[in-house]
Amino acid sequence: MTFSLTRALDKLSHDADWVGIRHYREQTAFRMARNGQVGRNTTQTQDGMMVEVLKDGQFAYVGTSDLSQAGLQAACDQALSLCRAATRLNLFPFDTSVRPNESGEYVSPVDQPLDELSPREIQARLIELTTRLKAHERIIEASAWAMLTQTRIAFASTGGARWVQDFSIVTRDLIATAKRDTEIQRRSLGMQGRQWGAESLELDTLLIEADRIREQAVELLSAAECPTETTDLILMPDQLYLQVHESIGHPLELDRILGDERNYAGWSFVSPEDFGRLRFGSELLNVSFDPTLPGEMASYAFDDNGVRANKALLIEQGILKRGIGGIESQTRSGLPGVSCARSASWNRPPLDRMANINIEPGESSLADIIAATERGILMHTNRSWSIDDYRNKFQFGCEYAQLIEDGTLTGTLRNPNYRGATVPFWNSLTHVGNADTFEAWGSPYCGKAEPNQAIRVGHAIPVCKFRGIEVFGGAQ
Amino acid sequence: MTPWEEVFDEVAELAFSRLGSDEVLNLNFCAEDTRFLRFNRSRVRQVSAVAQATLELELVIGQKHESHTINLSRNSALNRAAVLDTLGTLQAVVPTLPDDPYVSALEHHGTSRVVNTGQLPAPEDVLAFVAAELQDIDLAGLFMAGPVHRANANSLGQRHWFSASSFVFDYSLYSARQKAVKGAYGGADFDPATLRAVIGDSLQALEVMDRERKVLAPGKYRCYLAPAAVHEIMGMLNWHALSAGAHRRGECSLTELVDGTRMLSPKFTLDEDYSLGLSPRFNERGEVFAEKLPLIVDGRLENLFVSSQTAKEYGLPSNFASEDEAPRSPVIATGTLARQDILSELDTGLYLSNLHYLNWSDKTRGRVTGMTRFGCLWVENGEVVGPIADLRFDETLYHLFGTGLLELTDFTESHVEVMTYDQRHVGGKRAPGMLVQDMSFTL
Ligand SMILES: [Zn+2]
Repeated sequence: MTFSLTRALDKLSHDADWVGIRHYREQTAFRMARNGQVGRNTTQTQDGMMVEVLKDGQFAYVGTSDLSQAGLQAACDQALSLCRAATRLNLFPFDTSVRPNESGEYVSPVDQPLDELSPREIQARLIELTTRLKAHERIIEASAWAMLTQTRIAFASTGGARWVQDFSIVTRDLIATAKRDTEIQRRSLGMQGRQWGAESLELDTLLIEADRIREQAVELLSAAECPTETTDLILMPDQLYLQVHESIGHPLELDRILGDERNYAGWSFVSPEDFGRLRFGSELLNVSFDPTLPGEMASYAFDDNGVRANKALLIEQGILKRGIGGIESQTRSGLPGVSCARSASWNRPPLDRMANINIEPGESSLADIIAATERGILMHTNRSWSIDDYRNKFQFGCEYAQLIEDGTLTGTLRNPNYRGATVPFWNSLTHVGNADTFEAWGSPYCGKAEPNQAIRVGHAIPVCKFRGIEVFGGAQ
Repeated sequence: MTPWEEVFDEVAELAFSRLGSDEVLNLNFCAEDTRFLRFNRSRVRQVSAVAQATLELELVIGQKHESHTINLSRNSALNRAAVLDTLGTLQAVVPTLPDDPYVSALEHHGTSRVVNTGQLPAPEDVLAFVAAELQDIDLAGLFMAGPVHRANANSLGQRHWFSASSFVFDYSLYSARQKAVKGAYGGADFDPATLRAVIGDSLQALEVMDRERKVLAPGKYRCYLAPAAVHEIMGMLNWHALSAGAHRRGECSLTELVDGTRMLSPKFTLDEDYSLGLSPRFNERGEVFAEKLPLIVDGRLENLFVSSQTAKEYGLPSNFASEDEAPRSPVIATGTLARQDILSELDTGLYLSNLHYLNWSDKTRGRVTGMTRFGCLWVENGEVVGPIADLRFDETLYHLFGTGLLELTDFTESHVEVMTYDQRHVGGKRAPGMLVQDMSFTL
């Protein structure tokens, strides 16, 4: 494919200063079962090229799924005409230094290729899982789904960049809904996405999870409502990853700080002067951009500007050091960034995206954290999220919580929510879990940009504890 | 350039000609030619264009079915190869799948063709306008223009086509103190004078935003929610609020309303009303929804959305809702509050122009949280004091549309869908403003 891409690029006729072609081909199979029966089965294949040109300091992007030479030439011509039209209002004049000429490959680490599972076999496993999830009279609905994605991104430029990346990604969930009289509770695995293969759908492991989810859904029906109080809060990785995403990842994006996102996703409370100075969190907080963690959702070798991806610390011992901004944002702002310019598919231009944003593991075991808690609440599995456009005032809801009294778990709580403001919250961090508590979570649905793009992000996170957080329940 | 309608008809004919006697094929087609101009500080951050089309092929063999969506282009040879390859894969896979007990047989629901044309501006026209008139203003936003198409056909002879040519300039303006107001100008026929007037209104609204910011403590406030803020709350109705299937599955966010144990305000009436003209009436099975269906009348539930799948599973009559059983063209009925009386009736409280990032605090009980954003003001004794520091609300739909609802305005505003995930979305909604008492703010 790289060979044909290079040849297609060589054959293009143009007077651009630079041309790049990104070929994006992705196949996603979505398979679902409900209540012991087959559910929705859909597959989507995306196949197209983004032709990107630079002329007189202005980039323009034209996406096409006509992959013939004539189709690429038409896209290239249109991109050049858009360049000429836009140059008069150029926000920032770029040159070819923002399109490095790297070459290489990336392949997702996989134990068992996805192709080894037939649609029929996947369906059979999902059906069995929902039968297990439903095995209680109080369960009114059980579902299991898996989204299996295989992506190939190939890139070639007139500067000489040549790279190919092959991704194998699975996102999966198990869900049980329990009902008694007017009380309805839902418990799930928590939508979990990673780079992996067919091993992600290993039946015996998932059946154990299905048993737990079913029992906890039923347990929630008779659980006490989460109390309204200010207390110590322990967050498991399947909730904390979204807290990191919304209140650390997004506000650190340099294009938000530069104002690009103000009309849609929003601005940021972080200003350029804060880098190197702002005490974002307590000294225990170390946050990394890490595209090298094997198997995490958004690991890769090159971003879509062709910049090689390396690990870097964004927050070190609580101090803000570095932003989430690709080479264009770094050039515009003069701030330190990372290789994170990515696009959702062949039809959208790249811009600053999160990739893997992780909290580095600390020293505490989960047992020690609980034992060190006089009174507190431990929350599992995200179910709701909301934050303002500067990424300050947040509220999250979880599926399942446990009360801690005198260092012991003493009961289950339902409808747990908490709220706070970003910098005070991260400064109230008192414990960071050790490597045993560290889990890689990821979502395929981070939304941003105009035109809109939903992209895959990863967050590998240990358990953490926070002091003095407002918690509350549901209803009213 | 080959019209997308020709592309669709060619691949449909090809695919239908390759079916076995026991196979039924359902096709859904989306296409667009769009130019995007992304602005920051009234200059171009990114410029892009796409020519894109997708075709979903759903093959049904008895009780077994599966769908596969592919990209198409204007290249006939590539399209034909892709369609035959995909159909062949489906013909191999579908017989291996288990029976779906809830598949309802595809039918011939007739044919229709709606084509709305327009006078769209070229990117150069918009760039010239921004260069000439907006260089002293800090504007961020997106301009997009082009035709959008939706179609459905099946091998039983059904065929529906919907095209709309439109442009949208969705923007926000920023004051020296970095406070913002939101605006949008969209339609089918571009007129620079109208754009000038719309931006002029936004600039006027921006003046008051530069006054001293009012920081309010959490608590209950009397509020006026402008139509754009109401549109955001209506958006929550897309998440299983009025879905018959979701109600049976325990996912409904208005469970008590549906069960008849709780009501909304007698002033609250909601219809699904396709006279808005923003989206096709046919769904992904080519079934045609009623021109107008009352959903909530005088605070009581009148109808839920029932898709053919839900109908089959739970033994209900289908009203040809789409598979997600969400509103596609919802309209809230007007009340009696006149525009000139809004501030005096609000008296002292919050004037909320927009809301942001809504999500559930307790879904099955209809409790929603979200933030104020863009043009939110503190009003005292019927006079605007100044902008507020952002507040988080946490309130039930039963209060906002029920116990707290004092009055609705006698005018409405439409929101044309500007979402562009994967592709330009179609549809929209229409709502009046609402005067609400004791709305809860928590942070
Ligand atoms: Zn996000």
